[in-house]
Amino acid sequence: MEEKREMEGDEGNSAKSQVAGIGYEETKLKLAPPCSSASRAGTEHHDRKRRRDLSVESPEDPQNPRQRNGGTEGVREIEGDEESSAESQVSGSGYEETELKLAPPCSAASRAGTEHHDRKRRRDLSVESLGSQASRHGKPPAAKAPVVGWPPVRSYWKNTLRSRTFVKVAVDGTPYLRKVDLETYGGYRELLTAVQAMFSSCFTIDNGNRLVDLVKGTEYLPTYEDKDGDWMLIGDVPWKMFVSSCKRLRLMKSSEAVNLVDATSSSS
Amino acid sequence: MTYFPEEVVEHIFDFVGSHRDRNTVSTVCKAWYQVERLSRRTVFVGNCYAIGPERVMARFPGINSLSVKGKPHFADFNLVPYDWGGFALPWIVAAARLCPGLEELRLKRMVVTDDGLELLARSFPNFKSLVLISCEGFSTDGLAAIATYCRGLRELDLQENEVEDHGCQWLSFFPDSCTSLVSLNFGCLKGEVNGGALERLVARCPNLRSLKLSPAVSVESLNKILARASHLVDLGTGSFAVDHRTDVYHTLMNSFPKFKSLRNLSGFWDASPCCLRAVYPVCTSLTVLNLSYAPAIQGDDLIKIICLCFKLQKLWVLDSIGDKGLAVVASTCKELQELRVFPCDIYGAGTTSVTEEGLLAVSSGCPKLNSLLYFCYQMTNAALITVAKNCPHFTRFRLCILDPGKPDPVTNQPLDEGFGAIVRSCKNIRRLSLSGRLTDQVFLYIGMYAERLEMLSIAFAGDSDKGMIYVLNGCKNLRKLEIRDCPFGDIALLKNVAKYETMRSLWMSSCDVTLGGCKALAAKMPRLNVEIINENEETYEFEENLSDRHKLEKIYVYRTVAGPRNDAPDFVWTL
Repeated sequence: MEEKREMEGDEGNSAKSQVAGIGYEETKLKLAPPCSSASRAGTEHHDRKRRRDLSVESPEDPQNPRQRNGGTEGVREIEGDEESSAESQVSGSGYEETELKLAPPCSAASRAGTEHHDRKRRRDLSVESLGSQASRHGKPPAAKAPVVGWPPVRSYWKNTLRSRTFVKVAVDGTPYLRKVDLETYGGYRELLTAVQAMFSSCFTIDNGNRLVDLVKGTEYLPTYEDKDGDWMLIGDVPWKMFVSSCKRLRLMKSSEAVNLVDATSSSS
Repeated sequence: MTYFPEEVVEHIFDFVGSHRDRNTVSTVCKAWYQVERLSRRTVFVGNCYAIGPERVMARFPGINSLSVKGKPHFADFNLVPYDWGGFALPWIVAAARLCPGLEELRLKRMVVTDDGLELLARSFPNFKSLVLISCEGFSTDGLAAIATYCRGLRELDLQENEVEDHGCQWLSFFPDSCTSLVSLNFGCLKGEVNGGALERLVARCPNLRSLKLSPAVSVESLNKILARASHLVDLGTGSFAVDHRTDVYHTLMNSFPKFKSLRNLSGFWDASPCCLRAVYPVCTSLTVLNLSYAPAIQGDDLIKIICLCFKLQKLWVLDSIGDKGLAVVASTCKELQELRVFPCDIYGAGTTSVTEEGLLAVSSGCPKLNSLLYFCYQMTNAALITVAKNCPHFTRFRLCILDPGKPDPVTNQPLDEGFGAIVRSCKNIRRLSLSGRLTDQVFLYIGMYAERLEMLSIAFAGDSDKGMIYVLNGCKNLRKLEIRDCPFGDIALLKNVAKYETMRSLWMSSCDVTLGGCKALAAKMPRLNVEIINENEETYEFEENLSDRHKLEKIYVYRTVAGPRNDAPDFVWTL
């Protein structure tokens, strides 16, 4: 995959893409399966979401008859590539998803084949009805994917409750959860101090916004899950933005924080 | 009976109360039809598009109470576009002209405007009661009109409406001479409230029995109100969190013991555990408790309050109560009839809050349980079978397993047998909502056993058209069927078309019905409105060019004597 990227040097594209304000990699045409690792390399931003999706997305769910029938539309539009088909049945994804296309990464062409990977687009209600043409009574979405009108609670009630900024706080290695109201704190420092007090361990906060357990010496990173379902490091975005996008907090052991996304490093 | 004078017949009809019975009585003969229609006082219109308002009021000129419902139920979950319809104005206009004696109006899921409210307020000199549930389209200006012109108003009950805030002065529009209020509920208002006006209003209404405040009403204001309204039976608190070191808190703690008649408690917006203690003195006489707006109250605090509520008949809580808390409900609330457990964290990933264990406990501890709404992350067939055995009196059973299509986690089987047991055992079941992994088998059971079923809600269930066919052929009292994301197509839709005229409505979204199928239905059944809701901008400009095989995203089919409606927006086509 790396080689492919280097083989294609197109200065024209590069100039254009700089004008458009997005990175070169993002506009570069590649011969690759839609949203595969080749295209992924060029689009860190979309990338984050997909990485999360792919890790959450379970491969064929044997309990679900719709999946067993190969519910994705890709199977209906066979374009005569048997090898690809066979492969895709083995890997568990529809034909469309493995079909090679010449296209910018994550363009409309690739979008068609990855309905159920693309949570972000599905969130938009009007696109939802477009998308659902393809994945009809398709498999029930992965646990985190938002489905319109599900769960069946009155939107009035949902808004009333969601406007409160209570989030759960979990600490790796402890069995219990606490809840905090983010709006009662003025900033990150206050929040971390409160969390430190709450778990009444010998935590101390260092300058890097990390919590260290003085007794065991384990270092904890305060992380949070945002509205998109991504786990982020606390402290990178302005406080207000954090309050409105944080769904829950987790003090993660530093040693386990390898796959964490750092908001400041995304190319945006 | 035709030999009796009309006055006698009319007097006999006075004892015939229910809508259904009166409807039946009116079909016996022309004489009875006449007597019945002139003596009818209450009319309920379940679908505002099933009949035109003028026709209703021409037939029943003497009504003093009217209830009308608008949008389909799934509008509650954002499945119906905002401007689909359900306008209240035509009903208010017709009533103003033809039924000036109107005293009560009850509207649900309708679009009500300020103009409509003002017309209402000015047109009915005897108007006493306005109840708006899940409505939208009006503002506090409309409420001001009601307050100003409805002399003798007894009830203003606003439940879960979307109300635009144009300021807090609407309460001041109740004139000083207004002393007749019995029930005032404005819990759904989001804006500021004029505390002084509210306190004075409460003080001058000695018959006030039900008062439900919005979150903007402070604890301080509540204290003042409680000091003047010791005859309240039903209270919805406003905001219920205040620093425990303040005087306001101490006053609150002492406010409740004097309430001898208080039976219903709700509100508790953002209640804190400290403040919740204030209501302990009244818990032992409570029959209704709604804590579903209090996410800060965790399991242990919920248990502390529930332990005291041994007369409770209706309980609404968040799932933070946990199975442990539900066990306490089971051992304490022996009079419990209705339980609703709402999900605290709707986007959460299966944190174990309530499971089948909690439901099992309540079913075995609460023998009078007949109405359930239960959100949980998992359910087993074994539990449902036991619940069915413990509680054969369910009339409403709504189970929502938050992960769509999830099977029994112990056996990996679909939940067909569990729900089958429920319908077999609960002979009086009228309303049922299904969830979890379900095959056509569950619908076979429903069709076979659910004889009294009137409303069925289905999501992400079934394998084939057979499922829907079992239901349509079986449930002879079915009135409302709402289906989303199921593999039911034209074959099911067209199998028993006559059935739809015996029902109020059918909703299908994200299923497999096609344009051709709907056209066929509309052609066969001219007294149905077959509405297609098409929000897909790409296709609705080319409606003539859409092939019959085109799958439809949302359809709404309902019987009507009014023909296709003339207020449908662009994206709704009536075939």
